[in-house]
Amino acid sequence: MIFNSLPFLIFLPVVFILYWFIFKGHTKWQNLLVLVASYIFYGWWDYRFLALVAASTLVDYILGLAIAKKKLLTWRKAFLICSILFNLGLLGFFKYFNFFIKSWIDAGESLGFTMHLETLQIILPVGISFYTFQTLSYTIDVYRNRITPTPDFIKFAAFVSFFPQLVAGPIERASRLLPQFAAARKFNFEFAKSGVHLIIWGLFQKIVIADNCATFVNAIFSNYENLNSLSLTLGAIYFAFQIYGDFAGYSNIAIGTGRLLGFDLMRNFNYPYFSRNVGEFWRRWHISLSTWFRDYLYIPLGGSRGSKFQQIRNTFIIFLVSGLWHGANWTFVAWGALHALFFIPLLIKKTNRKYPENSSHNQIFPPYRELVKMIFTFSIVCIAWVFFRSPSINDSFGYFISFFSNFSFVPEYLVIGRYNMELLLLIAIFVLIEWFYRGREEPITGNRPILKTSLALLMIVMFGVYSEHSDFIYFQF
Amino acid sequence: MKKFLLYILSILSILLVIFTVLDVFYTFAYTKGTPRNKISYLLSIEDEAIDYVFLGSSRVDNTIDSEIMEEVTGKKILNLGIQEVGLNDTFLMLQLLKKQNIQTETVFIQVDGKYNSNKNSGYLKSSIMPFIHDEQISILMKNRNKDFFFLKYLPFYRYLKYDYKNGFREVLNILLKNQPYVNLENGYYPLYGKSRKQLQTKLPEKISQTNPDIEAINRFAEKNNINVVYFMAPVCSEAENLDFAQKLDQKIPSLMDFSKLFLEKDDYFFDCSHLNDNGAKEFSKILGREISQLD
Repeated sequence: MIFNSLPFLIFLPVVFILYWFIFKGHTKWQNLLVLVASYIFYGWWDYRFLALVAASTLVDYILGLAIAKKKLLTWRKAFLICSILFNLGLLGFFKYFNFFIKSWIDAGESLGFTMHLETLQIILPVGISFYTFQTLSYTIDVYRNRITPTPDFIKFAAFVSFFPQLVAGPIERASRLLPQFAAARKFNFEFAKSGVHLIIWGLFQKIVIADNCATFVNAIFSNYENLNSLSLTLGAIYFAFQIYGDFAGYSNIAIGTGRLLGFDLMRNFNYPYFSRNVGEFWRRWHISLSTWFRDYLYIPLGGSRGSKFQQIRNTFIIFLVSGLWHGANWTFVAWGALHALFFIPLLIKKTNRKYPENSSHNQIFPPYRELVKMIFTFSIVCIAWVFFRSPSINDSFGYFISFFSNFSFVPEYLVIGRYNMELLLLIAIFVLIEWFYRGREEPITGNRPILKTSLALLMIVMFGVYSEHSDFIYFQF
Repeated sequence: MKKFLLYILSILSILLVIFTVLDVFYTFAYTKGTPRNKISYLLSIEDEAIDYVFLGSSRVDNTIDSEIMEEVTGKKILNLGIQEVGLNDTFLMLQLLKKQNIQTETVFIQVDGKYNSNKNSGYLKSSIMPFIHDEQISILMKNRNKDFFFLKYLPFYRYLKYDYKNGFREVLNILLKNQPYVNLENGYYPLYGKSRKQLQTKLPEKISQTNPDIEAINRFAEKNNINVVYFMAPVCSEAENLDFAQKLDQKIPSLMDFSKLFLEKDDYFFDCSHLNDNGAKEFSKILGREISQLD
């Protein structure tokens, strides 16, 4: 089931009514309802893969308790390794098996060996990268004595499969979300209202921005050999807004849905395209994943301690793994490597943490220097997006070659029957809205919420894409 | 909770108002504005005499140069070919011609591999949506859409479902009186030169026993005294299963088969199944002369 679909439009009110009217005041029953609803939500896509969610839940529930029970470090470590192997094993098999086999064959054949290996027909289970990381954080935190494992299986299972964030995050930490499943829930009007605002804003980001961009992006990336530099530049910019609108939109709808049920999920995006360097970009983009990698990989590797060489090595590892997390393709690895290259100069100059606050705090317009930095950061991020979006590394390079070989900045008519520049006005409106409300979680809450809600709904209805309905991009990860 | 439910109710009310106002506004623009597609154009003319009307897909739209044919035949001609339409859609177009009381001598219908198919065109459906509250159109569309009830009675749903063709962009074009891509009074949309992507045309190997749409067209034409002639437009020499035309000829004995007309003239083609402007002009002359001989 996806958020911008008719089944979810029926599903959510039903869950809401049962949750607040039938099971009100009964936390255990509410948790059970969340669990059942989450399995229905996931099973709507493919019920067979529910077994994987259930297995991941059961294994980490048992291992979490076992780690806490043992005093001896060796045993604790052994149970933790079991959890890591199980979760990464699931991920490795379903997501990377074919990739590694194919890469092995390609490497062998390029050296002149004949390889007799075969790939398997494996379906990638939706959200596997998200829920395996969430359960992994649980066992690691239990091992580190940061949380006490819960003996309540229903509560734990509801935490793992919580439907608003099950398939595309935000990737929650047990220390943050699990206690919320234990606490009694009281309906709070303002909290629920802010959830509705997040849902509306998320739908705007997805249906108006991302889906409109998708139409142009698909037309440009599938025909890049024949298009001029202007179209190719716009293709990269449109993709930047497509993936942002898509993923930030999904995250906002997830957080909003969580709030309707009384849960506070972590923020996943904080206006990343107003970043003044790549370091700031990564503190604002997919925050739940960046902080996951920081806490469970970067810091254990030594983080920013040690020699410059070690710091650079750790940075490369983090970005390459992050790239690979997004998909089993060398394009994602290249995307991660590019970001590492963008980040390392900041690390050497120690400017990666230079901008802890929002750009031009309390100012309407940014100073000239900040604006230039923002445009520069956005431009290099767009260059990396070309690798992310291209179906293969060859296509990524082909895209850049076409940019120079078809060097022209004349407006072009695309195969979809639209001019390449047609979306720029919509993008400009979106950027202005985000800029003026960058100090807030979303633009609707505040003064005149009804007027802003009405305008957002009007834009969703008028400018949204409905005839070419598309799934959320991050489902594939 | 009561406050929250009232809040949700207010949002739903706003949404309903938006749907209703936009539905009225869009419908007004489509029905009162200058037509920008062939369906709007057809529904804007009534009680007119057009000697020859051509129906079919892009293989009519890009092939029949009405002006040249008018010069050759001395008759009034209208090209109502629409991209992607199938025979089921063609039947609908014929019914719309009757509804608008367009008096014709002959309706020419292009038929090819689509004889084997009964698919509808999304484009035609989208073009007709603004007019769905017309009683006769409503009857014609009822069995063609599974969600007809919602399309007709749920405000704005018909524009949401087909937003790519009927959305804000098109309404804005109507309001700004932007010219459509084709001169609707003759309906010919030329293609120039050669397509960058050479699409391979593969005619079907086998032919279906019957085509229910052809049968329906024939029954309707007989009942309403409309003279219908089927023809097959040219394809390039690279097309596979060229003998399909003979099979089609057995099913439709009166078929005018031009499929092999330009087998040695590949420079007349934009791609394998569409003539470019030069090819279309030449074909229109030949077809015009053939039709004149029929008279």
